[in-house]
Order: sequence, then C-alpha cells, then structure tokens
Amino acid sequence: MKTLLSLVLVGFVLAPACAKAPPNLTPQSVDEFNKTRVIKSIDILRDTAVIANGTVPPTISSASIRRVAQAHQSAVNVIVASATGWQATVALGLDELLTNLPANERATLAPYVALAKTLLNEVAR
Amino acid sequence: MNPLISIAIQSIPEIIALIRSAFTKANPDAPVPPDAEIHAAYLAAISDTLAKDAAILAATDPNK
Repeated sequence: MKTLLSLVLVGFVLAPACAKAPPNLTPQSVDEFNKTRVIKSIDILRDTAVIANGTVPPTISSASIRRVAQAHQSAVNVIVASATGWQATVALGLDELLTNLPANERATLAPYVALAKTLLNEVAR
Repeated sequence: MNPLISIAIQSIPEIIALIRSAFTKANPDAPVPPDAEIHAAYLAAISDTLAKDAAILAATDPNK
C-alpha cells in the first residue's frame, strides 16, 4: 500500500513537468491555463482534507478543514486578482497553513502541499 | 485500513485524471483548445471551487 501511495505521488509530481500550455494561445490564455492547473492542485489538497475529516476516527479535525478551506479560498482569490507574483503568495499561504496545523494533521497534508508547490514552481518559470 | 491509505485511494481518480490531462497536453498532435474554452474552464474552476469553500465554511462555522 505504501508502495502504491509512493507511485501515485511520484506520478503526480512528474505530471506537471510534462504539461505545457498548448501552443498558439494568447498570453492571457496561457496565464488562465496555468492558473486553472494550480487551482485544481490546491482543490485536491482541500478535498483530501475533507475526506480525511470523514474517516473514523477523523484524521483531520473540523477546525482544521475550516483552516484549509479558508486558506484555499484566499489562495484562489489571490490567483484571480493577481497578474504577476501570485505563485509566491500562494506558496507562502500554503506554508502558513501547514504551520498552523497540529503535527499529525500536518504530516497528512504536507505531501499535497508539496505537490501544489511543485506545480507553482513549474508555472512560475 | 490505515486512514491515510484510504484517503490516498479515494484521491486516486482525481490524480489519474490530472496525470492523463498532463500527458494529453504534452502531445504536439493533440487538438489545441481555443482561447474561449480555456477561459470558460478557468471561470468554471473558480466558481465551482469557491462554492465548495463556501459550503465547507458554512458547515464548519463555530457560531452556528
């Protein structure tokens, strides 16, 4: 099972390295394409936290998924409102989210934050 | 089953879809989506995800 989890995470890390914006697009479309990819990656972070809250016993507390949802909402608002520099701001917000979580919950969500930050670095290039 | 493994297994369909889309877009022979489609997908992603956030925040409101 741990091998399966590792393989899935490695595949997810490699996937952003292969995805490029389609050619012959306007700069705005390239920007929106990359922003959509980042939004989808942080969606997985949020949705994973929600699923973790549904396990018995909950792996993530309700207070923590509220923090995750607030951080996610802030990140999306930054992405929408910013033309440049949003990647660093979103990455900082994700780091702050992890800092404010209990240690055991941090360990659960850290891989998903790492994957989102990998994608943020990729689209920032 | 370990809860973390259960979480990972439930996330697999989304992860597989993301990986699949990544390799599709890397294919130079794949049809290029027009700007309008990308814009529509961007707007849909924003509205759908913010609606989910609002639902979560409403469900976890400590003042309710």
